Amino acid sequence: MSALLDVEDVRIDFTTRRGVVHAVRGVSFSIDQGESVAMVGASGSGKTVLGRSLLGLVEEPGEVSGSIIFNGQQVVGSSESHLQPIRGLGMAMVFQDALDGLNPVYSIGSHLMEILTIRMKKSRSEARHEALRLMEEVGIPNAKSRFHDYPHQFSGGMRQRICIALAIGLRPKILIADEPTTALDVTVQAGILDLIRRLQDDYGMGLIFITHDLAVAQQISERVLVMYNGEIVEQGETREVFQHPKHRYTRALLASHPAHATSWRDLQPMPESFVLEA
Amino acid sequence: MITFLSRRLTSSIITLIGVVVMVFFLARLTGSPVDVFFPEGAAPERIEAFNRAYGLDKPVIEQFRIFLWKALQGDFGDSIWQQRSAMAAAWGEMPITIVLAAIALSVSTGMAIILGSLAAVFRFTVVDRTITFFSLVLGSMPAFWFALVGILLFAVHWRLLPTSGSNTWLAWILPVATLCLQPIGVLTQVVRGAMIDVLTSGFVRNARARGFNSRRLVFRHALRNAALPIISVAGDIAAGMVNGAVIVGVVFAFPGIGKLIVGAMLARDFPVLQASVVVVGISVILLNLIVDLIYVLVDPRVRLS
Amino acid sequence: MTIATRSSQISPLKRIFNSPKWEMFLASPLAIASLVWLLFVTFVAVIGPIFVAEQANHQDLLLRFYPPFTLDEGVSYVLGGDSLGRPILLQLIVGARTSLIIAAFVVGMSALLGYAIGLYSGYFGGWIDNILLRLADILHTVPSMLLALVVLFVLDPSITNLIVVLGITRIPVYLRTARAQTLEVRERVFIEVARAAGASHWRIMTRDVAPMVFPTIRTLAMLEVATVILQAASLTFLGIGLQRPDVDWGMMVADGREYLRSAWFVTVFPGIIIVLTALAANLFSNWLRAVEDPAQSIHFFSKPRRQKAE
Repeated sequence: MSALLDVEDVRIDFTTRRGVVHAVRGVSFSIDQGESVAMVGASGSGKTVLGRSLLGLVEEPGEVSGSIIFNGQQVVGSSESHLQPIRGLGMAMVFQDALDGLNPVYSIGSHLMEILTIRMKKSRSEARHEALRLMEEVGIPNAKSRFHDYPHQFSGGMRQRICIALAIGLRPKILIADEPTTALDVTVQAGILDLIRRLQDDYGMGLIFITHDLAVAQQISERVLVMYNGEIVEQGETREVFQHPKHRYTRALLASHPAHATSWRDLQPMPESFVLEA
Repeated sequence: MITFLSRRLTSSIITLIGVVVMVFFLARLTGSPVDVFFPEGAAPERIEAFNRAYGLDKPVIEQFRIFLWKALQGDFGDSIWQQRSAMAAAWGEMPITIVLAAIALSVSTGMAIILGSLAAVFRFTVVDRTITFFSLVLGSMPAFWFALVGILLFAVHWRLLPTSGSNTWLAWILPVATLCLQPIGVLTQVVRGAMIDVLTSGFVRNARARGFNSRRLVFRHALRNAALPIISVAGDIAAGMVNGAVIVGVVFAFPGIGKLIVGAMLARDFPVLQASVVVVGISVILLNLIVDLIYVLVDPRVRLS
Repeated sequence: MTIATRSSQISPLKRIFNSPKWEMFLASPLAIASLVWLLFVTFVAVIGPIFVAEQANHQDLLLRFYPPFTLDEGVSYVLGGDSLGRPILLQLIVGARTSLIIAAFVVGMSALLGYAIGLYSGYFGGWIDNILLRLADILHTVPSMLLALVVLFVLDPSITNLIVVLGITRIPVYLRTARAQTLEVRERVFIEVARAAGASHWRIMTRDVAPMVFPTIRTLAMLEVATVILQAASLTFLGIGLQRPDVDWGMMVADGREYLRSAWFVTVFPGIIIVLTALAANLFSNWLRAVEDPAQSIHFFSKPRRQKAE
């Protein structure tokens, strides 16, 4: 049986005034139900746009080629109407920009009610019940009293929790989290990570966690994909990759990370040759 | 919310008093208000009565006090040209102008939302470029000339529409079109910019990632946010409709405050002009209050802070 | 100002032709066409009246409503004759000067005053700021054309009065923008640095803040040109502000109004010139704004891209 999500030789090109930028250059991987995979790489390595391509969300002038098969359905080149059932219900996504992630003119409650009544086809009373449960599940205190509050009345961390609630409320088979903690205060990051890990277990979802932070990747994933310059340079069991990195970029990445050095003297700067041109 | 309203109300009243002060000094721009208020060769008794009523022999401060006191009671003197008080003449003409402006505002906002949204959804394509060019052409057309060419084509050449009046609905078409001209040009660009901002925002992308269709993205998620900049510009646009009302008053003899103002100028009826400025000022201030209220209703960030 | 002197050591012309703006300009046919038309109208307005002023006002009752598009009466009458038999083409040339003078002075005056007052008001704040804002509010409450109508009714008709009155009604536009920008710039760190280094407020305002606010005002002024052309024409169309023998395009449209049925061209031609000039000003200033503010995107003037494949 083939995997839940099968990515074959995906390439993403951006045609700009100054020529073509190859953001992703032939990437293949797959993920099964309940599996957690971390996609690690520096900014500009193509991991974010790869994450978006899984839902067919790459905007003009970006062009995706290759094959992304989710649950037997091809994503690449599909029309919007074919993609809509996959988006949210098949694979849900949590983005980096928590502060801009919710519509400022609608209350938190109406955000949740919208996905539950329109996408999940629940009755209004069912939906309201479920919305409150979701708010509690992602750790919003006093869910009932905050149901009618607006996004600007919540902190960044709380807004990201609501975005997570909006993702899991659709009961997706895979959750894609694109640097969900980067825009947030360090103090709330750990809480969000714990939440994502717990929800992944409880809901039995696959997880694709996109991050530049090796420590986070190590904590959250069973398997890791190391991306460099649009390619996956190394993949395997998280523990294996971190203990015995094979590719020299992975080694350099590990050497430059504080969590992997026993003292600051061991820290190595990333070699010049790996620093990507902007 | 209450403090916001009361603050807006106070500032409106100050502005209104400012307009009245301005009107007072307008009459004294050239020295004596008598030059402005009376046509040459006016009966000396009438000038005498006017001097007495407004205390023109007294110091300016005293004159201002009298003027302000009368103005606050809505008394700007009697019309020289019509047999009624200036204020009554001005208020009497406002309803039809408000109806005309409301129709024109609805039509132009509707058109601008359709055109601007199309340009934003198909941004950077031929559709966008055509709409932008079209809106710039509309914005570059003088209303008075558009009105005349309208008469030339639709009334004289094709005989489809009447040249003047306001009794049949056909007679309203050209005046409404004349008033819509500039607003469509300006608003289309505002809508386009606002819609692009919103459509490329994180929350619309998130909604798309949740599998909602484009219609829902545009109508539920984008339009209400894009409405905010549109509402703030629409207030200015509505106030500017008075300019258009003057033009249609002249070209189509369309009744309303515009026709009254032009008529008063020809008849050298300064009390009516003064009263008209104040009445228009009051209308614009009320309009701005309404616009603020709508803004507050649409944007929870303003409502709840 | 030191920056300006330093870079002006390279010839300014060279700077223009080497800049990416010039390249983008050449890539945009609409921007080129607009600028060419604006330069042409300006040239005609400056040079034209020297040669044709007398002929333009020459009345020939035999040539009343002389039809356009024939050369029988010479080039002057190629666009026909007006209600007094004056050649429309030459009237347009003389009118161009009036229209452009009004536009230039109104925009210049309101931009300068609005810029200066806005800077001062934004930088120093306080009660002066409050009063100025209140005044701008009051001006804003009476629609500009109504205000101009009433003031010009009181004053004698003359170009100067027309310019001053229109100029005053346009000041709030710049004042608000300059003030808002100044408030923002004032808060930036390097202003604090200048303060700490002991620069006076006056010096900081004129040397540090003013140059940063200027580009916005310049863009705004360019955008205002078309608006002012249209507003001035509306006033003269209503018979306010100008008197024969002075003439501008708005007044010419008004002249033709009574004879719309019999001689359409008397009304139509001046209007077309107004539309073309206002459109050129609008197109060019929009292009400029797009080039100077990349966030606005260069969509309209860059080459069309293929439609979204969907």
